Amino acid sequence: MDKVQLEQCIHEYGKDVYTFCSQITGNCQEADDLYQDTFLKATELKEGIDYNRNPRSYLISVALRIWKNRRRKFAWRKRIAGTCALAEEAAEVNVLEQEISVEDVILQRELEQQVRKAVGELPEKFRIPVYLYYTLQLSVEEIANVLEIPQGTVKSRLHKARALLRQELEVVFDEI
Amino acid sequence: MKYDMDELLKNALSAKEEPDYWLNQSIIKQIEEKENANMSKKNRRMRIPAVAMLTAAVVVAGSASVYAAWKYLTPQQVAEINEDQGLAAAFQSEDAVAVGEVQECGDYRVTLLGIVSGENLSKYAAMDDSGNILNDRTYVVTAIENADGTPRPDTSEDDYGEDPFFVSPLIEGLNPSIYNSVTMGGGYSEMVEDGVQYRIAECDNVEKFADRQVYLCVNDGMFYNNDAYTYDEQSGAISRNEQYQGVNALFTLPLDKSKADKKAAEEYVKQIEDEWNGNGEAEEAEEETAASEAGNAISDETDATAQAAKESEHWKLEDFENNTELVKEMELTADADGNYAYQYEISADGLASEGVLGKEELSDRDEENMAKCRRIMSGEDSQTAYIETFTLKEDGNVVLQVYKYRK
Repeated sequence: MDKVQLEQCIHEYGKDVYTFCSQITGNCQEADDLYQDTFLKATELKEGIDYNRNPRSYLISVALRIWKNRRRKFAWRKRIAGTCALAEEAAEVNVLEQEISVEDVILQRELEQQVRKAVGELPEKFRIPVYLYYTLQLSVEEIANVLEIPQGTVKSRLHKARALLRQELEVVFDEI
Repeated sequence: MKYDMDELLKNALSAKEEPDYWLNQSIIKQIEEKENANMSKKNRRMRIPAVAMLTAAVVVAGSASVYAAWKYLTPQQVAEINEDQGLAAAFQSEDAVAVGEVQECGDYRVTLLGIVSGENLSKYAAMDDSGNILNDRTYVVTAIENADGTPRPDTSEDDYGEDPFFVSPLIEGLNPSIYNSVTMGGGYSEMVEDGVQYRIAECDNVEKFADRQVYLCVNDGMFYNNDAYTYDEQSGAISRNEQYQGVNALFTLPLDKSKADKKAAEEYVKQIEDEWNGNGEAEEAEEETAASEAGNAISDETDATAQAAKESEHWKLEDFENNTELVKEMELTADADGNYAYQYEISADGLASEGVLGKEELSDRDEENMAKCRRIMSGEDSQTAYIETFTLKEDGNVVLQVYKYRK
């Protein structure tokens, strides 16, 4: 892979890979490290980054492997001071309707924050597929390849995740 | 108000993070430098193909415990289903050993199907905690069934994984609660075919220990279970605990004795010992620091961490009390698998930590029941580090104490 290809790869997939790193680490510093290591490792591994074979999924799977390996041994350390605001602050309110009131905007913001929190608290086997599906918008097939599990398992985990989130957010839905 | 969960998730989780421009530039620079430095090496970094000998796949050992191996998929077929042609070829090579030995434990029947070891056999590269590729590996295929003939849950079913198993090589003369696949770079892939649960377990190559007895344990739970086996410290022998009610299969792995390498084995044991005692983490932290562009500031920081790891290695409770400041104490309760999850923040120190203490990490304790497993974290400045200690209480709970260490 030459410099131009690498720059192109970072340009095309950097944002997705970085978002994924941020979500699974929940920490700015760790996200930067994981993002950097992902590209370094991806170019070093036997498979290499192949433009003909879904480089985005490949990069995500490398990020996931590095993160799992690290986390297995070390307690995941987060510094309050260095912690990213992550999506919370960066998030712009997505409005579903064209004409909405300020109150609706605030409610929507609150709801999305609760959703992010609830997703963050899901067990890992549900959380990761949710990020891959909703954030990176990978297909079920792509997620199955990344996680090295059957497509049926991906579907059932997404289904279970949604059920858990519905249950968790029930109170929030009622309140809002 | 009715909410569409899909829409809500898409909106709440949409990609909004962007890597810093300079972070990308740093990556490009590092990869360029690496490419230039390794150009000659890179040409040789070819995958070593396993010798594919199309010999009969199943060689049934001639013992009373032999089972009709044709009933199962062969290790090669298991690897193929896992889309790992390299490993499938390796399981057909003359280096592979097909076994087919079965053991029944309670409600389960466990069969050791085959083993192969070597370099670059699998397409799925395993990595250590520092991200280094581990290419010299041992792969073992096992089949687990319900003894009553009912099918095991498919991986797509919700109850899959509810009765987990731990599969690991164990080595004669090495304490199995320390030297098992958790510390030996282990991992696995699993699938269910025709109601049989197949697992390809892998870890660092154990052939270097071939002059000793090398076992394969399959016990219930996520980690090695001390109650399931007995370890004779005098003879070094590992055996099943016959009183144990759960799953505690124990096979002898048929390794080629000519592949034993005493020197490599000693070095490997030393490496795990260091990591277990915390020295490895300190060294790794130092290595990571050396590789980091951030340089001096972090290097000082790591020095405090490394020093804390070294100094506190043999500390007892009294030493911690005399040499450090207790900044956090909390009681942890075991989860369903017997592990202890924790999470805390120390706002005054700008520190937050979360992790899981595996129950096997509590097996080695001092006379005050403090586990020899400690976790060290770097502090805000170059002079500070934090040490997490874990003390097992009589009621089975664990007291987590966090000590602030000053260089």
